[in-house]
Formats: sequence, structure tokens, C-alpha cells
Amino acid sequence: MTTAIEVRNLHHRYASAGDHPPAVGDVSFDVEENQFFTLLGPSGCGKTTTLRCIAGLEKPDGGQIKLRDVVVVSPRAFVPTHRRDIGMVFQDYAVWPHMTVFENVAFPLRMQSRRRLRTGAIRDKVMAMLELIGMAQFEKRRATQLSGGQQQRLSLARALVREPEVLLLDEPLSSLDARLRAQMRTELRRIQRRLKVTTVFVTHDQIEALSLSNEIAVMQDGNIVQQGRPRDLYFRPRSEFVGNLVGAANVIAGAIDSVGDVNENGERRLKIQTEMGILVCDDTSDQVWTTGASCSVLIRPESILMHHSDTADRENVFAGRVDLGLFIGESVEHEVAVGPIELKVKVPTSVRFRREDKAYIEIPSANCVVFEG
Amino acid sequence: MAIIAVGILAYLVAGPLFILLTSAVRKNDFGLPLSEGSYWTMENVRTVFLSSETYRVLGSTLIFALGSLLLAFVISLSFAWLIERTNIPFRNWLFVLVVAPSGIPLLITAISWSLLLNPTNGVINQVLEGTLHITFNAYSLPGMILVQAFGMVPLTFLLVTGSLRSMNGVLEDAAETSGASRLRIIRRITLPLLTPALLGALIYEFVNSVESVDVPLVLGLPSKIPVLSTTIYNNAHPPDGLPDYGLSGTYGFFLLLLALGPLIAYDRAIGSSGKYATMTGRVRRPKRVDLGRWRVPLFIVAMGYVVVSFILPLLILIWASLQPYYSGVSMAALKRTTLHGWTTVWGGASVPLAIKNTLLLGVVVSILTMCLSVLIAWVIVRARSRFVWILDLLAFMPHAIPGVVIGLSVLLLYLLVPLPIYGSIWIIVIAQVTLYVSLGTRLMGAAIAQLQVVMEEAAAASGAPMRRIWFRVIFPLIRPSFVNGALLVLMASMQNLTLPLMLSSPGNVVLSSLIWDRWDYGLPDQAAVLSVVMVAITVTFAAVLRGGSGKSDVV
Repeated sequence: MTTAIEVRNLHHRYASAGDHPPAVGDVSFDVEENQFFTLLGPSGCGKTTTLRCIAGLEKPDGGQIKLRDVVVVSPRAFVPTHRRDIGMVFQDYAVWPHMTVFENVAFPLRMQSRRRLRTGAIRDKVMAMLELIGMAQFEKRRATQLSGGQQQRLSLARALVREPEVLLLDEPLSSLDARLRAQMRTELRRIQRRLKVTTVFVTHDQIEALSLSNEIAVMQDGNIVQQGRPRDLYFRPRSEFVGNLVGAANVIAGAIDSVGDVNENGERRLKIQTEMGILVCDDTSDQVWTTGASCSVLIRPESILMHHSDTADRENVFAGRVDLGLFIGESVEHEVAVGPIELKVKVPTSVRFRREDKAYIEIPSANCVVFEG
Repeated sequence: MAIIAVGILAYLVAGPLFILLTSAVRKNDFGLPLSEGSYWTMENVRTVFLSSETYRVLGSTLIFALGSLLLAFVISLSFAWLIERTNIPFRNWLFVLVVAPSGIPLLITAISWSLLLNPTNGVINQVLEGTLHITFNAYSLPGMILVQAFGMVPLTFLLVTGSLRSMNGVLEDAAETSGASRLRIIRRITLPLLTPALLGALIYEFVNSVESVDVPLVLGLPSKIPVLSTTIYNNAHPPDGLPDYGLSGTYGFFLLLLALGPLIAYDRAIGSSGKYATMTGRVRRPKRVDLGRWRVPLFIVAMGYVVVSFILPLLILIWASLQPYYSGVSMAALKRTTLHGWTTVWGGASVPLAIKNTLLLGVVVSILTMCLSVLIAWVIVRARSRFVWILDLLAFMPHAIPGVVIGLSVLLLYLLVPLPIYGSIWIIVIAQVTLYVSLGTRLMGAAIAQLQVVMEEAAAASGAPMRRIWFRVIFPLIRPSFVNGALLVLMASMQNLTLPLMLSSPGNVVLSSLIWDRWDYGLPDQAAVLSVVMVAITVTFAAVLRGGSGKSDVV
């Protein structure tokens, strides 16, 4: 596979920011061709700045960016945005109110200076694009007469129409309402798969990131703190921050009681003293653990099992009391008090508990993730 | 309440216009329209519409208006771009300095430029003649255009810069990521997006430039360059002989047509189509262009403009106020420096009366205008009646009617209506309220539209009657806009020359008409003293206005 985007040691500080830490500290990553690559993080983490640097809308203080074989940012060179082979979708659509739907989409084609297209060719391409996003019938409408969802689809068509090397998406779904967002998510994935365009996607929404991406880079305070496939990030986060960012999580503080030997799967069994009692965890990290070191354990609510009666023969079973049950249709979210600890547990609707019920919580050791500190 | 608002507006707007139109076609033997013994006549209409003189006046009016418009827009757009979109140094100071001349009445600007650029002893001409052996005659169409443009720059700049600032930068970013170069972005995205605002400002300033009498009186009359506004004024107030109101009214009607034309075209093109409806969403400030090595040279050019358009005129006024008779700037003149003008000007009753009248006029007009505007705006925004558009139209009309026409109409109305206000300050009050009510309604309409109707509904649901909702909820919430609007009207009212002049009589003299009077009478030192006094007053108010709120760019 070839590398479509190469970002090396990118750093940038806004001139207006004064003494504040830089927007982007030191960021490096590669995006393979045809990949859907996501920058995920809370607001202010530098993800949008990074994207704007790739687009050339921001001139970074330092670092290097390569789009395919072209160096677009380096200490010596800066290729202006309009000479980069990109398409971009903005959070608030940014469709031009003074143009029709057709003219909005045709604009990038009309801007091509090297290979001028004939009017017929432009028309064919625009209509094909409008067809793809299901908006051919709105061709003559003014952009202002469209709904939010339609405007965002139009914006996507405009970004894709000149078949760019790279598609840049800056929180394209976050201005839409929940139902529309879910629908657009599916559509976005389908179109990206069909056109096989290398995509960099910026979002703060873990569902969008997990469901759309081949690869996710989680950013915090201007740096990438973890990068990997969606499943890795979800099940093997390397920090509490990442764990919480990609999904709901219980985080329990404790101290290492004993460290077992590495088994054939490369796992070590850790016994951890917590406020619930001893918790056995299968650790897959290459962390060096010493007895007595403080640590925390992350457990996803849906990986915890709930039983009505004690199952003494299994490990990691704790007695607790149901404080709260929220029926949300597809499942039930419980709050279960185990000693001083309040655990979030998500179980199928077939498992019935009532408030104040006694519950036996089982935490499979393979589903525990242990961090230092 | 709606009925009261409609009634007052109809009285203020429709009444005078009706009189104006009939005065054009009815007269009696004494030249008075509509009074006893009047008869139908097409004489005035023939005189105005068929004489070549009219079209000569129309020609110079158009050259004057369009020329000053073009110059003012080029200057204003350049400054707006430099200040909003580039990294030129001291941007905030430049902004203040470009807007500052809005505190100087146009009449005074015209007088100071006459002092600077008159062909015999204008200071700049003295310098030009000494070095390059050329002179530039201020008493010419180019001179009038230049000075009118200087006068229009502050407001034009505010109108343009406001829309440039509120433009969403993402729209330009999107064009850039679509492969458009900087020049193409300006041509295909920025300018088209600014078009409605630019056209709106253009129409507004067009009406301003055809209606104002200040520059044409000071710079046009000495070399007999008549424009429509001064023709209307001269027929209603001839230097000798009886006024010909019928002819004046017919010219007024002609000017009204001239001002309405572009406005209707604008409304057709943009106003109603909604195609430039603002888009929702978060706004990203557009990026600033790095001027590179042009940064300092451009700043020097900009400062040069500020010196020429703002500082030089003020200095020459102060200089002229200290001279027994104005004769340019020289060592000999420096030796003649005297406070004589400053001490003698207070003699007689007219100066204290003018100051008192000016302040009274400003305060009363601003309060009346804003109260009426709030009422009208509230009805327009909130009422669900099918007839709201009538009110909307009535409130909008004065915006399209040149001030000189309003002045004439009001003059004619109170010549005929037996109300004892002809010749008093109150006739100017009525005319100015009529003139400024559309501005006030626009400002308050915007403020009330932002006020969610649930605020009023919540008060009603809490048991408050309408009266208390007004005083406890609506008014406190719109007060900032109200105060801002009142200050704007106050400023405009005090600076206005057209209406006090059209309606002038010895009892209702105000500072602007008194300055013109002294200047016209050949007392430049006294005119200069009064100008300095007036600038001090208006600049103080302007400082309060700009300092008091940053919303002043809604005009």
C-alpha cells in the first residue's frame, strides 16, 4: 500500500494565543491510500488545526506534510490551498448562498486551470455527482432553499466533484440532528467506499469515529496520544483518557497485589487490590509491573455480567445492590453499588433486575484493561 | 396602538407628499399653491420637464452624485479591506480616524475645503502654485465631488466594513479548497456575497448625495453650478423676489423620481428575492492577508488620507477663526492673529439662540423619533395583520425621499395648514422626525426582531398587563439599541443643514443654518468660530456614541 498523506513533526501555535500552549504540539502520522483516517478528540485538542494545515488554510510553524509525492508543507515550501489536490467539507456546510446547487458543485471544476473542461463535460460530472448524493432534482435550487442535511450533502458533492487525491472532513455531521446524523454517517461510509478516496475525518463523536474509520488517532492537548484500529482503541485503550473518549467506561483505582507469569497468549495475570476486593485481570500490555504500584482498571459496562445468585466457582464475582435501572430499548443500563464503588453495567433486556435487588457482578478478566497510576 | 402608529406616520409622510404633488399642478396668481383662487395648471410641469435647463441641472446633479459616490466607495472599500482583511499596523486607530470625520457636519467640511482649495487664497493652492505653478479650483464639479466624497466616506466605510466583518470566512475557505486562487475568490465569492450590502449602501448614499445642499451651496454656487437640491432651495428661498413654490415643488417631484428609481430597481433585484438570505451556523473570522513589504507604505498612504481628509480641514478652521479676515496662511497673516472673532461672535441674540435651538432640536427630535420608531417597529414585527405592509412601506418612504423634498413638503403643508408652527423650531422638529423615522424604525426593528416573543408572553402569563410589559420587559431589553439610535438621530439632527435651511426664518435659526448664513454673508471668521464650536459639540456626541456601544455600524 502506498502512503497518501504523510505528516511529520507538525507543530503550530496561533499568533493570537499568547502564552497558551500550542494548538498542535508535535504530530506525525501516515494515512494509507483509500483509508478512512480519523482524528478524534475533545474540542481544543488540535484536530481541526491539523486538518486545516493539511488543507493549507493554516500555515504551520513547522513540520512537513506530503500529499502523495508532493511536499506541500516543509521549512522551505508551502503550497497554497488552491494548488493542493484536495476536497473539503466544513462543519457548517459553507455552501455559497449566491449560487444554485449546480453552480456550487460546478465551482471546483471551473477553477481547474490546467485541464479546462468543456461545458458539457462539467455538466456531466456535476450531474453524476448530484445523482450519487441523490440530489439531482434540486439542481436549479438556490443553496439557501435546502435543509441542513441537503446542504451538507451538497457540500460533500462539491468536495468530491474534482476527484481529489484527499478528502478532508471537518466535523461534517455535528451540525445535523441525531436522526439525520445517523443516516448521513451510513451514506458517508458508503460513498467513501465506493469512490475509494483517501479521507481524513475530524470529529469529537466516538460513534462516528468507531463506525467510519479504518484507523483512528486520538488527540489530546495538541498531540496524538494513541493511534490504532477502532477495535484496538475500544478494547485496548492505553490511557483512561482514551478509554473514556471512545465509549462509556468504569474506571476503578487499585494497587498491584501480584504479577503472574506470561502465558502462551502473551498475557499476564495481574491480581489487583481494589475497594471491591481482589480483581483478577489479564494484562496484554508490555508494561513492567511492580507489586504495590498504584494502577487503575477500565471495564466497559457491556462486558460485565449480572447474576441473580452467587456463582462462587467463577473468578471476579462481587456482590452488589442495584441502585438504578434505565431501560433504553435495546438494553438496560444499571448502576450497581459494589461496596463503595458505583459500577455502570449494561445488560440485555432479557436480564431483569429491580431497584434494591441483590446482584452478583461478574467481571471477565479478559475484559479488564490496566493502566499505570 | 397600531392605528395610532399608522395615523401618525400617514400624517407625517403622506400629508406632505400629497401637498407636494398638488402644488406642482395648482397655483394662484401670487404663486402660492392650493390656496384661495388656485387653479389647475401644467405650467410648472412644462417648465421643469421640457426645458433644457432642467436637463443641464440633472446632468450636473448626476455627475456630482455618481462621481462622489464612486470616489467615496473606492476609498471606503480600500480602507475596509485594509482594516478588516490585512495585517496593516495600528488597525484600530485607523478605524477610529476614518470614522472620526462623521462628527463634522458636511457644511463645515465644505467650508473648510473652500478655505483650503479656493483659487485665490486657498492654502493648498498657495503651496501648489509656489511649487508646481498649478491651482485646483474647489468651486468646480471635481472640487464638489472630492469634498462630497470626503464627507460620505465615514458612513460608507461603516456600512461596508460591517458587512465585510460579519461575512463568514468559511465560505472563502471552501472556495480555496475548491482550487480557487485569491483573486478568483474575491471575484467569485467575496464580491458577490457583499453585493447586496454594497448596493444597499450605494443607494443610501446616492439619496444622500442628491439631497444634500451643503457642498453644492458652498462650492457650487460661487461658480454657478446648480444641482437639483440647490435649485429647489433657490426657488423656495430666492435671494430676491417672491418664492415660486409651485416650481420648487415640481423640481422636488423630479428629484423624488430620481431617488426612487434606483431604490425600486434595488428592491426588484435583491430586496424581495431572499436569495442572499444569511446562512446559519458558526462564523469563522476570515484570515488576514499578509501585506509583506507593502505593510508600511500602505499605512503611510492611509495616514496621508486621514491627514488630508480630517486633520487639515480642522486646522484650517481653527486658523480662520483666529484671523480678522481670511487670506490664506502666511507670516503676515500669522502676525494678524487675533481672538477678535471669538469675542465678537457672541454679540447679538442669534448665536445663543442658535445653540439653544440646536440642542433643543437634537434632543426633542431624537426622543420623538425613537419613541415613534419603537411603536412602529413593534407593530411591524409583531402584528399578524395583513395590512402591516402598508405601515412598513410608510415607514420606509422617508428613506427614499430626499431631505430637501421633505423640507419643501413640510414647508408647503404648514404654509396652508393653520397651525401656528410655521417659522418656529417645531416645524423643523416635524420635518426631521419625518426624515429620521425610517432610520429609527430600521434600528428598532432589528432590536425587536431579536427579542423573543416568549419574553412578552411569559410576562403576560405572569399577569402583567400590556403597559407593564412595555415598561418592565420590552423597554429594558431594547434599551441599548434605543439609546444608540437616539444618539445617532441626535447627531444627524444637529448636523443637518438641509431642513433648517429649507424651513428657515429668524426665529428658528440653528447652528448649521447660522454658519451658512455668516459664510454666505461674507464673514468667514465668524463662520469659522461657529464651526469650531459646532465641531466641538458634535465630536463630543460622536465620541459618546462610538464609545457607548459598538453597534453603531447598523446604520
